[in-house]
Amino acid sequence: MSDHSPVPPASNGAGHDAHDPARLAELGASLLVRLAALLRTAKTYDAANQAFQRQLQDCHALIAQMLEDEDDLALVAVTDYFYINGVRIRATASLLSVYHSLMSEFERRSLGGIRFVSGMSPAELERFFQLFMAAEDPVVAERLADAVVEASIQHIVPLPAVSLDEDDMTQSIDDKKDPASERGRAKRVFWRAVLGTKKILLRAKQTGRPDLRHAKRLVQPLVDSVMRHEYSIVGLTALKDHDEYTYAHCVNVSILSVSMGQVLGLSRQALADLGVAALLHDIGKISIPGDVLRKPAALTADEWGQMRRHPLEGVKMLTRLPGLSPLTLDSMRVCLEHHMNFDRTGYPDIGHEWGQASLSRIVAMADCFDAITAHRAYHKRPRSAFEGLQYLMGPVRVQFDPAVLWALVRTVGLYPAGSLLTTASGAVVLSVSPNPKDLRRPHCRLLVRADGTAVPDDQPETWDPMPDTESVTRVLKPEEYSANTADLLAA
Amino acid sequence: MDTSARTAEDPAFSDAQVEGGATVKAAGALLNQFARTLKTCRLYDGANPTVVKFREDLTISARGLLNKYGEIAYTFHSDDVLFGETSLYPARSRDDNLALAFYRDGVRTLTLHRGIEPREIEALIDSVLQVTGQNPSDDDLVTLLWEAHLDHVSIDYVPGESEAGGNSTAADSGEGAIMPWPTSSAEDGADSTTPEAAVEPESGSSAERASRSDDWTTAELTDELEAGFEELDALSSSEIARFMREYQAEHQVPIVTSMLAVAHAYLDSGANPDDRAEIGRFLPRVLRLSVSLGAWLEAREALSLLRECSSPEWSVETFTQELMQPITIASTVERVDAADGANAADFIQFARGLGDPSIDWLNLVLAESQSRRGRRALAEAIADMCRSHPERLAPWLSDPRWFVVRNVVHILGWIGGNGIVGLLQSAVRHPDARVRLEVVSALGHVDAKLARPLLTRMLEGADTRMFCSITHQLSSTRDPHTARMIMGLMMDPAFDQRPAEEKRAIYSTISAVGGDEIVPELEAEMHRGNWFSRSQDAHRATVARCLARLGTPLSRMVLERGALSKRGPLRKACEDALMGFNDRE
Repeated sequence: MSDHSPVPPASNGAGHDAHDPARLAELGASLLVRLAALLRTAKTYDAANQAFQRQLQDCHALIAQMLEDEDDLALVAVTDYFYINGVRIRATASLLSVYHSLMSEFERRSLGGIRFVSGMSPAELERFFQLFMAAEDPVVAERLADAVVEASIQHIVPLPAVSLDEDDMTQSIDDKKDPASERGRAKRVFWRAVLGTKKILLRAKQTGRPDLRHAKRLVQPLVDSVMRHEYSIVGLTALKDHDEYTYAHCVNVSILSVSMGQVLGLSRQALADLGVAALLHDIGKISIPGDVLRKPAALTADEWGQMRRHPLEGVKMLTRLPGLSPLTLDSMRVCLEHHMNFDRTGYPDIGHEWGQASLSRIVAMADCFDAITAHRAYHKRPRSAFEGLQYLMGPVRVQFDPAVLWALVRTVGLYPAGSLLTTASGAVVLSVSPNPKDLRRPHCRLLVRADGTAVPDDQPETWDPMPDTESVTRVLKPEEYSANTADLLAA
Repeated sequence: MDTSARTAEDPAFSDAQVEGGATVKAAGALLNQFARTLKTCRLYDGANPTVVKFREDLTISARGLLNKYGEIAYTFHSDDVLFGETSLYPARSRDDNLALAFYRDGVRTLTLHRGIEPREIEALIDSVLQVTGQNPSDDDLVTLLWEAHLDHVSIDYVPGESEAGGNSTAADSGEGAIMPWPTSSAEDGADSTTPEAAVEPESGSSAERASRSDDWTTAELTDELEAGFEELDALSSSEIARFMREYQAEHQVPIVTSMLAVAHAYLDSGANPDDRAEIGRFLPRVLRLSVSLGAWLEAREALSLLRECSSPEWSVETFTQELMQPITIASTVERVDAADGANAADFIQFARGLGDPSIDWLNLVLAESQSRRGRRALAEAIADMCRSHPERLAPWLSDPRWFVVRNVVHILGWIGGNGIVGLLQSAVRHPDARVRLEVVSALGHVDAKLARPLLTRMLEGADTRMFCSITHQLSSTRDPHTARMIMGLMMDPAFDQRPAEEKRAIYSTISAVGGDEIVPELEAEMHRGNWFSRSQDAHRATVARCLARLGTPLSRMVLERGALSKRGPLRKACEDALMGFNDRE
């Protein structure tokens, strides 16, 4: 990890884990409110003013209260989120303005975060905020850390933004977990794509159109990964149950599409275009009201109508892109047609003879596979990837291009990542990535050895791929096992 | 100093240092050569021999150096290019900052490896030129280099702006990382924007009523996965071939055609007024691209869709102003001149579709067109469009380019009718004879009564060609006034000095337009002359033939009387003329 790590050593210890993250997040939200109020007041009044002093005391009191439970507090801003000692502070609607204003104050000062250490006095806090206000000037901001030291502020440490370099962080994680491994690279590429996609979609919501240039940059490493036959990245698409799934879905569809495209024989450039089109396939959902998207109950006809408009909304956003390139066209077609089917069913109903484009067929397949295996509020349990594949190979297969369906199976294997399998020798394994050379024998993580002994989590054993002497005898249903496959896949 | 002492003691160090210095020098020389090549490429056209030479030299140098040193890695800062720690190309000014183009787009290190191919060097140059030119590419340098697929160039770059990736299992493992990482128990979805949680509608199709996951419907599972796959696998080679054929066919369709198809499909999918407005904002770009590609059928289609969308932000008038920009005209002319019959017809149809504002555009294209067939089609289109209001062409009659005025006069001629007389009047005195000639021709499509005064006026000072044309026009109908005027020319003392063509034209016109009113003058002319002028005999014979062509009883009588004359030449002229006499009736 970087020398400038924003994370204080003390907060990494057991003391941190001992506290309730929900309470920490709740107090963190209050801290944001207090800090924002203090900054607002500091802009209007000088330090001697009662209004400022009152805000200062309130803020100090809250930090002191939090420091009773923690050795220190690291308030860090990363990729549009604030974290307090590693716990994300949710940007609820009421907190949104505070969130954004503080985020911009931090950005203006190139500040990644602030660490408050136990023993902080009100005088230190006051001096710190005077320096903080002065740091609006970029020249002062550059040497804020030095100025804090010179001002003898010992219990508040500004954390420079540079120390929050995600690349460093993901690198450091890889170094620890799977140094320089294919899987390590794949994870870095995957999560970078997820968070990049999040940026693209959030920005698209503000600007009304996606940033195609950025999307291309995100997809290039995915294509490279697939072109290098690194199948770990396909395995990572099995991760569904996490905060960023909204964005990961887009990345999953992109990865699956690119992999399928490669299996079908598309060129490198065509794969890049396909990847971008797939990444943006659901961009129209930005325009659908959140309460409709998130509604856990049955949709009304009107709401369903709105939902079915997302392909059209997507096209609309893409028409706002400058220039008319083949990539724009592919993206528009994919957006429009990703809910149409090969058998000319699906939506939107164009009302005349209209064939689904070849790239749209790939994306539709990938989208369907990823979506039907995702967690749903109204399902007792998510459909497993294996069940998803079974479903697609069932009567519904007429909706898909046979070549594309074949490419999907070639891409994810007969036992897709996330499937728990029992083998001929009696071992229980988790499929982690496909093995294109033998679709029946994926790359696996061993959970229970043939002799019935469990493999410890901290000493993982893998089959890369499953040996020829083994074969899958059964696919376990999710309710048949207690292992958390998501955790194991993410590890 | 210390270093020298050490060098003396440690030959290995000395060698390494010398070699290192040589590498730095070589890397610096190559970089400077690269910068010079870029500058040259910006100054001259790509085909310029200097540019070609610079590019070739760079390729040779790069390949030679890389063969010698294995690889060369450049590091880019915002204002300098480094090799190791050595500054190679510090920014000299804002415009001379080689590093910035790389740094700005996120490239931090660029390593050239042994075996680099000329194609790769070319691609590298082209990519940098693209991002630093006056019309920079839509793509950044990283994307351009990625798309160029350079096997012997490795690039270390920062992720796209703000795309900091991140994750951490450290939060779980207690290692203090702060990034979100998937957990088995996702946080409550209170602020999640997940779009996946919709369920089936209360009413709708059976498919919609089925349980749904996200926006996909699901049905019963099947256990026959492997068997199903084997079935697919057996057909895979033919299915893949079919898929690839379809893919290639789709991507051979011109982009504007496909864009229009998407726009059409969009509008047919229950588009609301907002959607139409949005598409209405998009279509002008498709229209412009169609025009620039010379895809006139698509341009017509785009125009038709635009009208369907009735976008308030677009107007034909503004659009045709765009079309009339010199650069657009030049490209349009190029396309029109190269167009085959069908495509040219599509162009005309497109222009007609634009309506009245396109007349000026068509005139500009006509003015520049080098294709005879194309010009004819354009002129016919303009004539058709202006038939009911030829005055629409009036501004073009004062165009400083003679050929433009001639074109317009020609078109006016096609339009014909008395309405063009006033317009032609302004061109009657045009300084260029070719225009005036065209006016004469155009006047042929006007009522002779109205044309005659203009034609008569044009005779004055006309050169032979013009004179003959005018007299030819005047010969179209009999007119005593014109006959007398032409007789006047014949009887003028200067008549003998006129060129033979003019004389012939005068004789011809007299016989075409004249009647009994000029018979006495012709008889007098026939009798004029003396024994010594042999040329007078030819004149006499011609006048006699004119009388014969008049074909009236009076003219016959004059000729018969002349045939009885004692003067041999006169008698012979009249006898000959009587042989070819044609009764006018």
